[in-house]
Amino acid sequence: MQRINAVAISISKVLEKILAVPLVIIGGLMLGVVLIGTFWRYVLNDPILWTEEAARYLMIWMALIAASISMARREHVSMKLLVHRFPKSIRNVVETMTSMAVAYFLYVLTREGILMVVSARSQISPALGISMFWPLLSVPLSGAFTLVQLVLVLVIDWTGGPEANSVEPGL
Amino acid sequence: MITFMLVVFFLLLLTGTPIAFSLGITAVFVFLKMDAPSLMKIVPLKYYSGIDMFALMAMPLFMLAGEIMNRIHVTHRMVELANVLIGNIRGALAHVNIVVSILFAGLTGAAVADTAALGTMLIPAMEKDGYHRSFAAAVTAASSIIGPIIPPSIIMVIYGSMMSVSIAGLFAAGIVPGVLVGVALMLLSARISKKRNYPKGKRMASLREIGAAFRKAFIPLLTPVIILGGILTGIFTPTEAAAVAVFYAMIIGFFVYRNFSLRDLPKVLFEMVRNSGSVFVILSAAAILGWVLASEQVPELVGAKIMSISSGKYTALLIINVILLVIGMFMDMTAVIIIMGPILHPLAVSLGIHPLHFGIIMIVNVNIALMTPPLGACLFVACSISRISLESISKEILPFIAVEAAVLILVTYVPAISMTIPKLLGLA
Repeated sequence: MQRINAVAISISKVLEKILAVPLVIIGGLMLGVVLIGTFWRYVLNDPILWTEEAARYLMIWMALIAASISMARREHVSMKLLVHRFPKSIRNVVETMTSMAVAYFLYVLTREGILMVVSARSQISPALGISMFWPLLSVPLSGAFTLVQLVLVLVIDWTGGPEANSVEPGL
Repeated sequence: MITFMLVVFFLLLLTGTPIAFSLGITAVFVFLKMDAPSLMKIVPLKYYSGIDMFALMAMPLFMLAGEIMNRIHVTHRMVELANVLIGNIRGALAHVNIVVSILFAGLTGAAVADTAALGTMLIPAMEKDGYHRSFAAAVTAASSIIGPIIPPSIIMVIYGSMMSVSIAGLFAAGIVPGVLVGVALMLLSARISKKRNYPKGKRMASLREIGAAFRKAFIPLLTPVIILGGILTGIFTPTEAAAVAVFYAMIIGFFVYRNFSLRDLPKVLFEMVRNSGSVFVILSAAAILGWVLASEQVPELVGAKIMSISSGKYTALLIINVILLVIGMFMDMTAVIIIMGPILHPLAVSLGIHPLHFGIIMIVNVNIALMTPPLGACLFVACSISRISLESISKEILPFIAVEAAVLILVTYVPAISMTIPKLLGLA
């Protein structure tokens, strides 16, 4: 049991870290692109057309993929007051059931998201001229990564719970 | 179908399912119940388009600016400034707490982060000076809600993007109500301080001390001037202003206070990523359920229901306020705005209430809920910093809630409080 718990925790941490690095870069790029757009528009008086669209796509990637990090860290906003009053055994059953429902939603999101991405391949974004495949891809990836983290959270909870002192990812 | 939706949603919510997924699951279950698998394609579409808005980017960027401001200890300079300005009156530190909340409100857009930053500094200081710890915690929690009411405000960015209301207009409309909350809280603190004989500060500060403190706080104090000046005169969009605020905060940290380096950048960016992860999905998932609600004409039905109880706009506003306060006591502020906004906003507009005015009513309302026992987020933060129980802070905070409720009533029934500045600036 303890072995499984330790393995699940480390997989969850590694996945979080693998995603955190590109997300930090995406967040920085988003800031940079907005600043460049602002500078060119107001200071150089020569507006760039693609910055608004590029920043928007970066934001969507950052926000949706980060949902998996919030899942791993159990930081999605929820009301735990009532559940925490249940006896431990009932609480585990309830949390497993609601997690199943969340898993089903994430599965639908991923499945339908893949279909959406595939059918949007030929659409071209207005300013950047890239295929809409790229911005829309964030949706099924968000669903899939969050689903993986949800399963890991469940495994961790079944096998003894998260570590008492969790480590911040090394950034 | 509406009963089905309500039952599923609240069952999920009460059993501790994250709000975002409760919204999404409810929508998916409705599609299942309708036996319409082809509608499932709405799920990823709305999940994407629900956040596909340039204006929304102001939210993570203002979070980032606030994160940097906190990290470079802008709070300390604000406290020093407030201290030399009003440090000699009775209950000085309570007033300092409120004034700094007002000053800080112009720099950041969130309440909970402000509570943490201010509370860590001022609650121990107040206790050392002879204030009750529960009173110190209550003042901190009560005044932190000024942050999201005075611009810039993250919740106003969300409201404006979702409801297609001018964010600049909301920012302008929030100024007076926010200051009003501050003044009301100060009046109450003065009364309590007198009754309990809380200490006066030291002697009056000399002009030189005031000058020194002002010089130290001057550069960050320019932030609201740049942000608000830029947005309200229409030079910047809120998103651009937020990016400029981040840039400005970094410049202050790099060159003026020299307590921020490029190595800190990944850390603050990760905080932005992390906070985004839990906020944006609520918007995304709410967009899916929003599509279902609209196709079931729920906003119209709720509107008709409220109108059937009361015909006039004043009673309707009262009912809306009570509903919002009750929901806000149990649910996250952002979630209340995201879920209830699209239902109540059209109703208010049809009653002839100005969209900006109604936006401010909703925002002041959910902010009061933020400090209402038993679930207010700011209360929890203040409790954990001051290590007092929820019971003892709850007792202390009641008069503050009463005062803020009075301000809410004023804001609700005197439109001029919110509408004067937007009208003067031509934003309404």
